[in-house]
Amino acid sequence: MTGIEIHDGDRIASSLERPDDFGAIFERHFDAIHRYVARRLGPGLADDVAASVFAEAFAGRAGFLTDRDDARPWLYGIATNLIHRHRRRERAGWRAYAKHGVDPFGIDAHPRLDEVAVAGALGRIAKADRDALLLMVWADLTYEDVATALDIPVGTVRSRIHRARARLRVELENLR
Amino acid sequence: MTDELDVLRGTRANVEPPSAAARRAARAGWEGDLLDLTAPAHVHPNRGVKTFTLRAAIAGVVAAVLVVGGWIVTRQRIESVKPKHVVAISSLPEAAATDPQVFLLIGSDSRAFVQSPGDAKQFGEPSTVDGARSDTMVLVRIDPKTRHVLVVSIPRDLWVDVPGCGMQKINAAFNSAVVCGATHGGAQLLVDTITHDLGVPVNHVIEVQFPQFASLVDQLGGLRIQFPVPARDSYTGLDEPAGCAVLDGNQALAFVRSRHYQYNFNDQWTYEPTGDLGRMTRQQLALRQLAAAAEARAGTDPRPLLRALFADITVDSGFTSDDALRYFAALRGDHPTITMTLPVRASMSDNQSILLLEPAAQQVLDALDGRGTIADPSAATAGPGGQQLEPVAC
Repeated sequence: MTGIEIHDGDRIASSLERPDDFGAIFERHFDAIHRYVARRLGPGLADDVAASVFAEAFAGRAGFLTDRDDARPWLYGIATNLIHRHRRRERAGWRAYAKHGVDPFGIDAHPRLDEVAVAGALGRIAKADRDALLLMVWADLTYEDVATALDIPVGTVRSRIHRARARLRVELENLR
Repeated sequence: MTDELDVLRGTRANVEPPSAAARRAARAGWEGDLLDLTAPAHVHPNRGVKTFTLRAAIAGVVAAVLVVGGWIVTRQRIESVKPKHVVAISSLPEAAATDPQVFLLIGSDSRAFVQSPGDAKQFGEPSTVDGARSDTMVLVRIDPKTRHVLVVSIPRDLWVDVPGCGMQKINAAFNSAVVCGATHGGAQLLVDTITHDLGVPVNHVIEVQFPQFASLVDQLGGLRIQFPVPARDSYTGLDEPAGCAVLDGNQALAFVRSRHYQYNFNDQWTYEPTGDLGRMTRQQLALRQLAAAAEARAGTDPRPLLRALFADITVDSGFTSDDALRYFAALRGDHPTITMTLPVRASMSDNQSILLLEPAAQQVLDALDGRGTIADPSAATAGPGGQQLEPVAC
């Protein structure tokens, strides 16, 4: 990184006056958000949903607390809300994955048995638990960041992730 | 032993990164004006969406001036109508009555009209939105002898050399908050930029502000548009089912301002990926439709309409109704018309997305200056499976 690194909060603050500054936020995070959405909803919906995440973020950027360095929890929070609009599709995707042993979105070419089992678990757990778990594991957010993204207390995040992991473990143990 | 999180980390880990097209479309989805100072999110921090710059609309007013003018010229000698608002611009070359003329149409988003609280809520307060920007710039060349008309939209993100300011997006030249050398942004600087950088001499300037467009559309009985599939834009409030619609003034405004245009295709809302370029195409459609409507309406008595138009628009001080009528006669009845957008390609400069001229643009600029001709590039846009998505005339 050359020059002075400007953190997300500064960029978002300045983008209120100079909207083009939001371009830095977009460039920095678009790929990761797109990837996250694609893993949950499939590549077919990811283009549209990821685009909507940034359209909403841009429109609501005044609501971002600019003393935060990292826009990721905020962006993933928006993404989570938008993914919920397609929750039946997501769940159907995980269930089809588990039932047929084939990723219906074609991302995993030849899933192993343990991957199929985990997909089945993801299709059965509560969506709130799935949100917390996937934000931690796929989006690499900390417990605190997940709490920010979902606007819930950290303790709730811990219990949701704990519950989700337990379900995944049960599925894996059933294989043995 | 493998931990469940390790398995999960591997699940769909090889997902493809977004395509360049998806990235472009996403960027077009949020990107505001370089000069958009509204930050409407201030007003509704959580609802967000009401936040856009006013995109100005040119189309109808100008079309109606032209067509109605043409009608009058054939009747001759109705009392001359004086424009109410004029802007003095030096360096506009005069052309003889029978010579081709190039008009610069500017759609500007000046918020000076915002007076009632309701307006302010909808459009942003004048105090938070300084100056005026040109979001719509169209060059129209009319040749009274051949009756050929060439209409060329100039993208507002076009990267040009603004005299005194160097390389800028072209709409900076109209922004009154911008100072280049000793010149404030405005019609003069925009004319100078077009003359200097694009090499097209401009003979007359017509500026239309935001609210007049809606009233004009209403005066013309609405804007007829065929939507092959449902279309919406949550930023401008556009929301139309499939079919032939007659848009009233405000709906027409939502249509021509739309830069976050979405289609409903196969039960899914999809952003029209080209943003500003797609908007220019739709504005040209609106221009053609309103011209047709104006011609149909002018049949009975065009004078009130012409007077209303001159009361609303701003023209350069050399623009008289007599002149206008003489040149605009060409537009009455059928005449060969080419509408197009200046050929450009996307690029980046200093973290902003800009547009650069394609080599093919030179031929268009030459044609605007009367050197050579061009073929009509019009072609319909088809979606997957060949379905027509773009709105058309009806």
